[in-house]
Amino acid sequence: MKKALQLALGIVTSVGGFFDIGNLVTAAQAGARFRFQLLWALLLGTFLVIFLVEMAGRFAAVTGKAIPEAVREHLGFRVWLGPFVVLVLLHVLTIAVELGGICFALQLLSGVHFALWVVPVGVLVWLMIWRTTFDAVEYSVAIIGMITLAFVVGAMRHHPPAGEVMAGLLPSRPDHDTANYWFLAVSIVGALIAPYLFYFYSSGAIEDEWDRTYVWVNRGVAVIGMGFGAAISAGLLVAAAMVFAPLGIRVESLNEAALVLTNAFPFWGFALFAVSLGVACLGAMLEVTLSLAYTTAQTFGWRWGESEAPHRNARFATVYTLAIVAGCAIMLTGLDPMKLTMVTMALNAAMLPVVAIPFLLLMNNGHLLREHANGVLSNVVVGITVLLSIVLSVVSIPLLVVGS
Amino acid sequence: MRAQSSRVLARSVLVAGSLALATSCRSSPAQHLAETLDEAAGQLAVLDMGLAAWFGNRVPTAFLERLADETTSKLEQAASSATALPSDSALSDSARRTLAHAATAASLAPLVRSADTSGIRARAAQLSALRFTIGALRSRVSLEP
Repeated sequence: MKKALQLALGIVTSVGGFFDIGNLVTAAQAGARFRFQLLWALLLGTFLVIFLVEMAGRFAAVTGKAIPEAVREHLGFRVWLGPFVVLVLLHVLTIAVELGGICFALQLLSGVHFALWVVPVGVLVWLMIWRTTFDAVEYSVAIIGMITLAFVVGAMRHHPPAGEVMAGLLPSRPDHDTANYWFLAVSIVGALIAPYLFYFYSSGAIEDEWDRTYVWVNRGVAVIGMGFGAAISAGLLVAAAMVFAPLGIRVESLNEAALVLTNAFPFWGFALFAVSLGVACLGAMLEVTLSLAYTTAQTFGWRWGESEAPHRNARFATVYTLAIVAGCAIMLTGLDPMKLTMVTMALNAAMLPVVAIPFLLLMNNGHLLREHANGVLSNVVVGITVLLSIVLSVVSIPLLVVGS
Repeated sequence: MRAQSSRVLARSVLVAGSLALATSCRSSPAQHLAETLDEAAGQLAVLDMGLAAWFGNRVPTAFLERLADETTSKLEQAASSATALPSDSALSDSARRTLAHAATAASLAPLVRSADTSGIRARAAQLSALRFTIGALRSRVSLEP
């Protein structure tokens, strides 16, 4: 019974915690510019993230260790140092863009410029992490995050053509803006397989005291939760394709994206979008900030745990405090949150091999995982993921220059 | 030694490939104008949606004001791209002048700030007409070699 509840909560958490500003921006642009033609990138990214999250949870449940801690112990600190530095950079950038998303949502609702919200929101997020427990953070954000299902309902209200939607699940050549098409494909995959997602998930499994008996719970959460989470992104992509594409709207700014639900929900559409954006970004910012603190503490062998009082693990608390300060500093420079999001998502894709390969080496360690080590199917998917990550990393850098 | 040479070769191929892709995708002045006209037309469509929502009390005034500012900025970019086009292009001088005046003529933000509803309605009609003008200019630019 307890495990069934954990499964249900895990699925809700995945739905609420999976969707963030990266998914929102990339899906809205993809739908507006290429209608349903980039749904295949969403499908591919979802397939990969299911495997990566399942592995992260399985590793934590079986070994009782988080990934950075195990990489350091089994592959050595020097091997882990490079990926760790890359992870810190990606985490800080992601914290900044999620913070930008919350502030933008507040700007939409209040009319007050988003820069004025940066510091108050930074303080609020810090207080939430400082004062609450892991479960409180996880479940409150997850339940409020269900509001993002409005994108799915919004898409269905437009009655999209089923044949065209299904055709979009297969890759096809674009008839215009080729560089932008591939840059968006890279960014969609990058937004879905953001490294923080599986590093946070494995630390969360340890916080929740998972053991070997949770392997099937983990599988259910990974498959159903991530699948539902991706359905929200797909809903937004389809809604953007139905609303913006016929009018030639390219979604260059979050202000444009804010009108995506106003046809489907004439009265509540604007507020629904703003609240969905704010809640999704708040959930993601809490997760990314904690993920950075977990990763840093596990790398250096410090005490860690969100549920413990800050004075008992002061270095862990210092890391998330500094991370929030860094995120605020980046947003206060006046960078456009939408452009920074696109660059960050492409960097996520480009850096995936660096952060994923050590983890994948561990997943094949028979001494550590015994019968739970990766099987043939997992290794084939892992192989494809690594290969795809390398291709993405080669492609995304020039596309960053010409496509964005 | 051989491994080091392979690494150097792989890096060179990567850099050369990136540069080749970046160069091949760099847009000409006509392509750039076409892109900015597309963006301006898209932004005018967004403003149209925003105005409809604002008249129905479904979006705040501050939001409409920001949309109006973004539209002016896009129109200014389109006008600036038109200026960069060679003088013997398919875009006539009068078309360039139309674009140059469009940004100032279409400026909606002051009316929104002063809550001049009738002025906003009149300007909304002008903006719809401007969308068609930009659409016509865009089709001319797409005929450019």
